[in-house]
Amino acid sequence: MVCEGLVHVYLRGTPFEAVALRGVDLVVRRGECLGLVGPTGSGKSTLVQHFNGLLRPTEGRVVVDGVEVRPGSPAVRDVRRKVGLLFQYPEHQLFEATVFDDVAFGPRNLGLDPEEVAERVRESLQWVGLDPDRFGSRSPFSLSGGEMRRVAIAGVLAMRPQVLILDEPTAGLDPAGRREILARIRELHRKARLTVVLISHSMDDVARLCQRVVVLHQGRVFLDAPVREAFAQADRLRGIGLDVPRATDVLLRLRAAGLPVRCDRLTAEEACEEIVRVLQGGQGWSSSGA
Amino acid sequence: MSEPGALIEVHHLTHVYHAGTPQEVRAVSDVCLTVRRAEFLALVGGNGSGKSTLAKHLNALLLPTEGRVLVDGLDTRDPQALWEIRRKVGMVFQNPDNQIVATVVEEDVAFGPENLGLPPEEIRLRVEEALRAVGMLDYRRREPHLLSGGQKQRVAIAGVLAMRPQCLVLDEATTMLDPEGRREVLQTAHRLREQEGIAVVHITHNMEEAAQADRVVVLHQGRVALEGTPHEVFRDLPRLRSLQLDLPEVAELSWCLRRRGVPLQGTPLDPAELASQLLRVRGVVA
Amino acid sequence: MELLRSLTIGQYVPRASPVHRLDPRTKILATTVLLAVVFLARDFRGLGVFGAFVAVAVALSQIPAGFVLRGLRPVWFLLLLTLLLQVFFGGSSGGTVLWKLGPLVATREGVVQGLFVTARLVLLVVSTSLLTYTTSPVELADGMERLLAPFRRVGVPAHELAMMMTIALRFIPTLVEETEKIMKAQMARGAELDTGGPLRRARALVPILVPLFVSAFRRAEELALAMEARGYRGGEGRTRMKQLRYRVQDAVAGAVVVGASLLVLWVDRT
Repeated sequence: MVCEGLVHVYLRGTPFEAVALRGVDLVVRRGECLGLVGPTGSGKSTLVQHFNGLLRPTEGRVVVDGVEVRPGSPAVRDVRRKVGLLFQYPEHQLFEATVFDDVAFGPRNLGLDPEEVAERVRESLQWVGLDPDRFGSRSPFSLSGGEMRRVAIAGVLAMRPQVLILDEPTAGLDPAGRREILARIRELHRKARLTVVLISHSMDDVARLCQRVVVLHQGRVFLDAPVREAFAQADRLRGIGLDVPRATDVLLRLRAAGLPVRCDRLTAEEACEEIVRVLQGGQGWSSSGA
Repeated sequence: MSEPGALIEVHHLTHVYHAGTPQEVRAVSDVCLTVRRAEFLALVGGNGSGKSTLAKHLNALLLPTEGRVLVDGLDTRDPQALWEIRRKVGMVFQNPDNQIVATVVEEDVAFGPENLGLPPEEIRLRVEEALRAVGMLDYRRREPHLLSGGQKQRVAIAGVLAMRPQCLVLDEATTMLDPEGRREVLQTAHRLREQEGIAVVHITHNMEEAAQADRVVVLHQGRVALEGTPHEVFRDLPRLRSLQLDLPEVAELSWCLRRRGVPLQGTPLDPAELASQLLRVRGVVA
Repeated sequence: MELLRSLTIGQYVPRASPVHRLDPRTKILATTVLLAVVFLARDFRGLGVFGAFVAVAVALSQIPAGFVLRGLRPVWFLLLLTLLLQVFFGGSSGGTVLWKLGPLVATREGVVQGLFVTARLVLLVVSTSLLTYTTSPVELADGMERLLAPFRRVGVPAHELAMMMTIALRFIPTLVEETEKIMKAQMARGAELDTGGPLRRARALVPILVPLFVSAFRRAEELALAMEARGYRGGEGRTRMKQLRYRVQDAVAGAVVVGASLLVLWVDRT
């Protein structure tokens, strides 16, 4: 249970002082998939770097699994094991001569013995869909962009975290790559029961994967609600420069014109069902199987 | 041979990397394409489709292994024409950082005109003009590393504009940007097309952006798989899926509805279009 | 770690002083002349005049004196070492002994010599610092390029050097940001960058340096392509938007520097 009460966080002290977070209270429950959205500069990256002790709160506290997180304290090592953080464009952190060694970096830092390390590496590579026998001894720099990203994800998974924080995991990928990564994240959430925090600019992605959405704006929590409720508030979201899933957008327009559609449908499939339902309920159209 | 109104003509272009070695890769095969003056063309395709390779032929950064590329009548293989071609066809790349050369915005925009050997007064004029056209004049003395992604790309566009091009190629220029940055860049590109008559070739795998173009060309494994207006191209969901692409979310919804029997005309691509069609179907005056 | 980002390169302090406004070429040439003079002075009188001149220049440049003195901090060890070496070994054979410390003999001549050499070093550092405090890195690059341009005929790649310097300066903040990011990413995987002895810390740098280098090479490739796309083909035929122009102030400054140098040497030799 990643629990965070009363986090007031500021980063200050220099002439370049900038308040990134102005008093954020947030609770992340075990096993949930949380979407963290907000305009650029709203503090999303800053916030998540407190969860694994990379940043120190200027005020307030961060508590993970009942233990307060303070950078510099020995507890931090443990937190970094439990809370895995994947930065944007994670393929830029690869450095080892072989894929195996790079994925092994994390477990080795944990001081595990070689058999354990090897097992974790195999498992993690399999989780991201890379065959350890084919890829293990290759140089990470000989891989495609998408493959490199998956190696980076495996590197974080090899620490066997309980929480996985992903900062824009689909940034810069083509549609096929995006679908692939999102499918794997869903699997990790469902099958491996990881708690997932997904930072994304894509409302469509968040709608598909997450149960709860937290919207940050100018360093504060603007909205914290289950996913369907959150996206139903299109006007508020648009007011701060965000958008709603496009399928929801269509439904909102129909509703505004008087059609009794429910607006808490988030994906194309759901919206399709809903529209058909409403259209069939009235006249003006008969099912002609066009 | 030449179409009137054609700015760039690609005739049976084939490009092979590392020919003759074990790493030989045929990135583009027998592609024929025309970019018309002042049109907004979207070039889409998944990874490995060859779109980036094709883009680099438009301004002679790459030369054809087979076939020909003509820019306003000039052959890209002609070494004498090289610099004129690069003036006529400007390119903005994917990584906003890795194309800014100078430590101050206005000096970076001046880079192109300086290379053309223009007199300093003329350069100053063009720099101001270009920055104004992209809405970045207030940032002229800023240091580029302090700018957002969208702002950096606009500075890059200004750098190209200062050379007075006839065509602007955006090589995945929005891929690394956040939604706001993407909006900024696309608005700028559309405005330049409308006001200055500059053709825009937008290479992307974002279908929503492609849907706003005049024409869409879909590449798959180095060949042209589909070509037409956005409505024509996004009609067939399974076909696009097989080409490793997605539909814009609204097009998916439209497709789903059509399959369920809702009588839609064509494939509406944006929420407003779809909503108004649905309301008409329902008998409600939208 | 945020401090990395707020580092100002070359310690340039933007002010609107008359010194700042001088053409960079004037300042570079002046500094060269002053460096020569500081080594030609042979005793404290010359050095004294020199010191006075430098003090005036610092005052004119509106750079706080404390700032300048702080600039000596990186070299304090060198200064101390020099002083000690001179004190104990500077005096030639003989000379008045002040005290003994085993095999080390401190002579009065040594002390005098030591103070002189140290003072010279201090003035040397301050003079060159003044150049970098009052001239932005871009101006320095421009100035150097124009000064070296005539030597292109004998093979000095003035344009290429200046281009290298500008690009390096442009990318320093970007690379610093990237280093930070890479460090955080590796720390998130359990890397510990601030523990252990020197060997351990050196090894801990590999996960930072390798990605940084790889990315730097990639940047270079992409940048070269972008430059070519904008018509870059080397320095031939290139014009510059920013023109460096000598003005009255530069002539005056030049005259003052020459005058001061002559004064120093004259005081020194009489």
